[in-house]
Amino acid sequence: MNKKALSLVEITISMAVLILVMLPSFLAFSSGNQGIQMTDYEFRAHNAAIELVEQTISLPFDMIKSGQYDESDIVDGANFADTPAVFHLSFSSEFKPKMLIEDIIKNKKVVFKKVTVTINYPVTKLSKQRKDFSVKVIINNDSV
Amino acid sequence: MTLCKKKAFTLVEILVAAGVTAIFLGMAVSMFIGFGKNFSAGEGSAVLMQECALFVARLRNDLNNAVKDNTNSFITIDENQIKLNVYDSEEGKVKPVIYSAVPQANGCYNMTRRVANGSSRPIVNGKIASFSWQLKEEVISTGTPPIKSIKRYGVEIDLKMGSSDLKNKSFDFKTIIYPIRVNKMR
Repeated sequence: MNKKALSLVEITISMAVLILVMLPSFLAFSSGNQGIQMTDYEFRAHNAAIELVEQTISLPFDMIKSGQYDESDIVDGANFADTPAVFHLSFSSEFKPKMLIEDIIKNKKVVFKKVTVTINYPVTKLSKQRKDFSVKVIINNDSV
Repeated sequence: MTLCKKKAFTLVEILVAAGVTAIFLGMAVSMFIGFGKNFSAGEGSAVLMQECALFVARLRNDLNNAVKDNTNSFITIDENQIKLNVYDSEEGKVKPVIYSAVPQANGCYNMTRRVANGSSRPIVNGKIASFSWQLKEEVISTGTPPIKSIKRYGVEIDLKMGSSDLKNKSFDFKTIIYPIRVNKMR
């Protein structure tokens, strides 16, 4: 009676094939989790941008100083430009804010100010990849 | 008499094959358990994040439409309740809106929202582990003549989401909401 049994090489190859087949399902778990982390960071970046916009537009129009502000200017407790108003930030240092305030002039008068807030944030906790989230608002000069 | 020639595994072959299989399976099982744990933790956090986002968005919308009343007040905040006067642009009316944190048997809170004399509607069902909210009033001098002092209001919110059915999962969130209408009413 001549029975052919499986060789060690065959068993090893079949195990490797099985692992390769299983790998996509493991990766699906991993990418699902990564997606949730991305949503978390996007949500926080969105909130950080709204928070900065709201506190800026809550100031009187003439106190909203035009210019470009980066993360070294936008610091919790630091003054906004040369005004007595201070920044209040509740987001962590992983989120890097930038703000651009531009005048919109009509008949030599500033009628609107365009505020653009950009938050640079990490895509996930361990990732070095970063993304930008921007919010733009136009503020009306009530005195014109 | 003929001898039957059977080819079988040797003990060494079986032991090596079993060892290799055990290593592969061990790796696969530990990967599966690790990914599964991370996924379930992430999934639980996603549920909490979603509930938190809905609550904060609703409160932000109400605060941004809040207006001052005859007594120059727009909000009353106590330990478990926020009362505000919100301008409803659809009806052109100011309506009182009340947010209440209702303690539950599991130690967590429900968050409900009630408009005028309507019934309380739940926004978050028992997934707030702890929270605090506080009104911040900041007096800012305009600096340029004519110098005047203005007030900038902000509502500081600190939420810790979690619940007993989502063990070991939490979602912490902190923000300040600046009520735009109120801050523009100077």
